[in-house]
Amino acid sequence: MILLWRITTHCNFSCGFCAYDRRLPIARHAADPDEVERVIGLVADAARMRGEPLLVSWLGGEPMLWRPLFGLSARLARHAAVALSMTSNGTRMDNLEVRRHLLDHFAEVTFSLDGPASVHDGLRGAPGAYDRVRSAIVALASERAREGARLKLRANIVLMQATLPSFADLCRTLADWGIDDITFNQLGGRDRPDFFPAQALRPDDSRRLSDTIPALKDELGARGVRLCASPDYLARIDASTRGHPLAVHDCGPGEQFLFVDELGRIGPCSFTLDDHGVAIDQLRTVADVDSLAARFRQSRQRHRAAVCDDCPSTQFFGKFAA
Amino acid sequence: MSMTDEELVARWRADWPAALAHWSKYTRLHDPLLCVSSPDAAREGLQGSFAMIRLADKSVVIDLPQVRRFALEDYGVEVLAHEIGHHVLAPATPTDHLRLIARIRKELPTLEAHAPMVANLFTDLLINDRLQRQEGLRIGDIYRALAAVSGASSSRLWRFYMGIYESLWSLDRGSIGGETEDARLLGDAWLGARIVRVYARDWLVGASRFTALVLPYLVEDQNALGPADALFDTRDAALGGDAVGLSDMEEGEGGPSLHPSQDPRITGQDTEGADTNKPIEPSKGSGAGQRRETWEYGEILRAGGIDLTDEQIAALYYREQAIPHLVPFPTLRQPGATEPQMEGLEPWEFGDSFDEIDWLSTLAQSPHPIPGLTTVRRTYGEVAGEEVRTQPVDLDLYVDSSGSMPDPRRRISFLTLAGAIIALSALRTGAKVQVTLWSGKQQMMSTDGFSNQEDAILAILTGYFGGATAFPIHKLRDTYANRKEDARAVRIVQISDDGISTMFDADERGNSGWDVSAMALKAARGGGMMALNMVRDDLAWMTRAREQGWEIERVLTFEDLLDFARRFAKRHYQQASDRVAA
Ligand code: SF4
Repeated sequence: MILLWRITTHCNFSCGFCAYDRRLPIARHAADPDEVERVIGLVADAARMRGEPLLVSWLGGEPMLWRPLFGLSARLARHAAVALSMTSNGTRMDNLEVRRHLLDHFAEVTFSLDGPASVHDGLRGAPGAYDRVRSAIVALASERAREGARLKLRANIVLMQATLPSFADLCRTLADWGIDDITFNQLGGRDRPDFFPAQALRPDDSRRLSDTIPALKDELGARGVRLCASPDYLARIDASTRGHPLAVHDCGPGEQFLFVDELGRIGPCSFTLDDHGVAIDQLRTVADVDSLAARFRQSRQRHRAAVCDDCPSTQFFGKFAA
Repeated sequence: MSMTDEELVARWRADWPAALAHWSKYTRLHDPLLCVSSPDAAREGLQGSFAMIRLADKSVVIDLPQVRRFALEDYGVEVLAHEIGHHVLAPATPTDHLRLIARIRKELPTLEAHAPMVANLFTDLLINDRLQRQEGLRIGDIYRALAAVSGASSSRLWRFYMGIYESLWSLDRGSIGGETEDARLLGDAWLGARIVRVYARDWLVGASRFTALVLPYLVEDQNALGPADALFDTRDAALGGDAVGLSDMEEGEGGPSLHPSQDPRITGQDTEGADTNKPIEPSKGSGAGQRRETWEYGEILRAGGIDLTDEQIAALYYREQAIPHLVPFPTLRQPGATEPQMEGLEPWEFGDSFDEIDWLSTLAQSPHPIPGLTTVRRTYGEVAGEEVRTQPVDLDLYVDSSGSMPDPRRRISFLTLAGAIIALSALRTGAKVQVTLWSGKQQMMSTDGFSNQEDAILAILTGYFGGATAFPIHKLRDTYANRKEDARAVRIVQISDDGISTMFDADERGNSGWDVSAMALKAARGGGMMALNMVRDDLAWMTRAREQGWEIERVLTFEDLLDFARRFAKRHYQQASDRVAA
């Protein structure tokens, strides 16, 4: 079971494609740490009773800006069923204490990185961001080797017109730094429709990407780096570039993934919280957690969200499969 | 020296967190209601046993005098952990409680009344086995204490049941009241123990197997469950809860049941190489998706402790059956949608997010910003967005409830279901609905005009007369005679059989039904439609009705009515919303 929790919508970067760009005049929210701890404890106990592991993945905004993150992560990591993960822009990782904490308590960290310095820093509106990510990855990789820690280092690349040309080289660079897994997703148009048209991938781009992947996968694989690019996932990207909707009749809602937002709504994915989301204060026993999948399924049967007619869930299409 | 009531309450209160921790310390239930007198417990609904649970409000009630009677004062953690187990493991939710009862009823032909108790015995096995074996709690001692007070039971069923625990926990035969000699009882107890282990996760199937073992003992002696009375803590467990998904049977429920001695997963005598962990495939006709009859639905709800009237149960049933067929609620921009508009500035204070500081305005106030003093942030108000008007078409629905139609509270009535689909679809678009149920003269009931109250609409739809056939022409007449010209358009729908022809008879004032019908169609402005269960399509009155403007669809079976309802709702309500959306 994977539980993704968007703990804050605060961010310190200005990414023109992101809904939480710091320049946007939107109300910002952060999760209630007591509720986060309680609900994760409950989900973890439910997983333990089923004999399954639970991966908790912190998302933002920038999760590092959420103050309770470290204390809470340290407590949760003690739970037998829980492994922790986070997606970050690299903020605060120049701090040795922070890296120490990640090595001690986290199973994986995903860094967002989109291209060489000029591209990445420009897209993210954060001068020096590329260098900070590089130092963080290199430092974590060497500290991990020294201490025999298990932390997995992953990079995620957003593919768009500005980043596609440097994609293969960036993968090689990431391998040099000590990254274990590389994932990617294509630019979506939901969050910032103004940014999208000029940067969206086109069918030709998708074809070139699919052509590049096999050799690149082998090359990286020989260096011990896994490029996650399953055929299903590439087909999903291709369909989007062609404007072909991929309707999902049954995504097994809530069976493998749960998503919680900063307002405390839990649902089968981040896209359908308005349709199927349940307030986390309704989760009071492990049985309530266990019944979520059936609840989502029923809610989806009663009223299928329009978004399911072109499911944007990268997890569903195997983003993390090789 | 025995404890005072206050001491006993304090002790059990202190035991509560430890009991919770045996499941998950993050569990949130109401603190237990510890009743110091049996009348107090009875006021909470607890009678006959020393504990009970209510799944709907996540509570546990304990009758402390009964606890004293069985000398269980020192077993607070065990008893409370057991009750919590009903909330956490089985049945856990009102819906699962009812699903369990439905399964067990199927295995107890003519003895269905015992299903709630059998359900209780089975879930107790699941919970107790876990607490005794994995959590190290002294559950076996509780049964010893009960036996010490009640004496050895002569019930063969009870000796078989206690034998299951003795088998599960490798206790000496008879040590907690199980059978010691009878080979059949001992063999059944062994099978029972295997069911608990093999079907611990798939416990609805396990419950069916367990019931197959229980049935012969109950046939021999219908009072065999007497000794379990003191333990019957899930008697009204679903009281106040929601029943969801019960109107259809589920997979495995309707097929022939398998005796545990025939189940290779239990006996371990599987064919070579077969995967014994795989659940047995449900046989053909296993029940999945079949509609349950309404009377059975009602009996299951009542057996689970849900205390509703026939009308309320019928409304729940038809609502649940109708929902999958409804036209999806259109995603329209509603009138009055708001957009944020900057209204001004206000001080930014410590504790506010740094991102909210409006630096331009802050620096305009003072070139040397002092956080919390000269820092400001923007405030936003809401202004109405671009308005999109919606103009739904109201629905005036007439449903025939004469003797040729089934009683929807006993049997599934496709008329009622078709009516529910059409009415609920209309409500979703913002339309108002008037429903009239009719049979013979003086046999008519109707909503109080056009309404958006789902309950009121379903209450009328699920009613029944079963009398003669005389369409209430006066209702049609009065609805439209005084309808204002600028009132919303209405679509008139008739669901009936050839009895609808009485609509064209003369009314009580001598007016021609044809004239009333023409007047109603004109005033309604949304058209009229009939779904009729009729073999012939060429009767003279049908031709004339078509000429007058009625669309007539013949439905030869009542199942066809369902298709009609879906098509109708889609055509008329979906199109209405599409038009508005365009
Ligand atoms: S958007 Fe995709 S993942 Fe989310 S509920 Fe719909 S089909 Fe499932």
